[in-house]
Amino acid sequence: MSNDKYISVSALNKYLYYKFDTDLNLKVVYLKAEVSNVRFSKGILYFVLKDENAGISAIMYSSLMDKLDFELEDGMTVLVQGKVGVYTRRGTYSINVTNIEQVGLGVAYLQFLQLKDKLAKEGLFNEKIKLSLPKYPNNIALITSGSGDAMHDVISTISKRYPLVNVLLYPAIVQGDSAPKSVINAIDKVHLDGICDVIIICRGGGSIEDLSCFNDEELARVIYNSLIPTISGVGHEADFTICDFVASRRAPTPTGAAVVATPDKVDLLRYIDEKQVELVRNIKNKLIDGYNKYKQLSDSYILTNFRNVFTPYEERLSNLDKRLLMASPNKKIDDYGEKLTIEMIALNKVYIQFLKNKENSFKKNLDKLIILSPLNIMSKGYSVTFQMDKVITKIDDIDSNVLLTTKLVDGIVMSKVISVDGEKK
Amino acid sequence: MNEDIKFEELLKQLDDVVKSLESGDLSLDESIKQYQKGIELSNKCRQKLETAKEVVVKKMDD
Repeated sequence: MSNDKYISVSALNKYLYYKFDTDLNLKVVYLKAEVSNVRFSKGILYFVLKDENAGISAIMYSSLMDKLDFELEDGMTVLVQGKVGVYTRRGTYSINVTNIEQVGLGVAYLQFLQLKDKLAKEGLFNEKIKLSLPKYPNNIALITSGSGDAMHDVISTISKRYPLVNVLLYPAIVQGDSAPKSVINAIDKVHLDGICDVIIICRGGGSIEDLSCFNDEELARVIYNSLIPTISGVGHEADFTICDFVASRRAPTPTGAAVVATPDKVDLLRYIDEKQVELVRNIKNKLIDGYNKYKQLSDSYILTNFRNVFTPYEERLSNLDKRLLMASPNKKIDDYGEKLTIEMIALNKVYIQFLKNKENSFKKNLDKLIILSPLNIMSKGYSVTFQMDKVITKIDDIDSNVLLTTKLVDGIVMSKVISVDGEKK
Repeated sequence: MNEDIKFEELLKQLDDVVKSLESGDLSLDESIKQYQKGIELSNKCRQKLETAKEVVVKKMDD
């Protein structure tokens, strides 16, 4: 098969560009249309011009924008002059606006304003009665498309910020006619399950028409009646829906909703660090206080001069000791002892004298005795005669038949009786 | 310390401990006890945050 008949995309887009560029009808186009999806980027205003059935992308340079006497807003009806051209890189076409005039607000926008006004009057947007969000949610109900970027944005943001939470995805249709009912069902189911402590209702950016399901009155009332706090994060920063006004909190985007729903890990870690620092500082102060008190006490007069406490007692004691000593019976005992010694000495003297006297008188008697002793007499020539151990003093005592024993001073004489002759008286 | 205690509860306990220490009504012994408890709590909180990698995502459609 020959490839000759196949051309590149670039070639096609270039051809279309040429076709558009040379078409006189497209060189200057006048349109009456409603403005939607206005956004500004790098000096160019991008928006969509539409009617009930169709839309066309439009761009306008800031140089022209600066000359306008009004701010271009979603829902405005405008008269536009411009040139239609092809953007070859993407194969899209758009109208490059060279002049624009405001006519009035679009129908959809008017309806939006009317509903907003009505619900505001009923008090559905009253900040005072709105539920407050849990500071540390445990389970977050995420109501969004199960396939959109919004879901991933929310989950990844929550993962980064507060991974302690569980995200329960309640898939819902978030675009088109069936969207309001689908979101309402999801909200009902969240209540029925009763697990979650906060609800995020979100969808990514889109045209004002894409987001219009979030301007549904019934959905607004369900959100208002929700017993669980709600966070809406619909579209982009600039997009406002009824949902945003009635929810407990409005977030600019799905990612913003995730941020509103959760505390930041970094902040929490910092908070925990601060608490720890406080703890350390507190205990340090306590300890310093305690030490100072201890020091104060230990430095107190009573403790440093502890001995002094006893001084008066010691003095009193020593005084009493002295007096006790003075009053002690020892002195008397000593005195008596002395007297006793003197008495003893005197007694001894008397006794010795007594003994001497006795000795003297004994000696005298002994001398007498010696003088009177028979031995002494015998030494002078006297003797003693016995018969049968009986001293013979008289002649009548003598038995002539028995031997006489005569004791002399130096011995004994035995003799026979020859005769006995008594003396004349 | 119980693993099941929610992060918020731990954080509240930590806050209470710090407050009770700040009040200055505690004895030194009690202060030291509270301090130790506080350090445990703050470590626990930090650990909980740092070990949790990703949120658990559960699809709830029927």
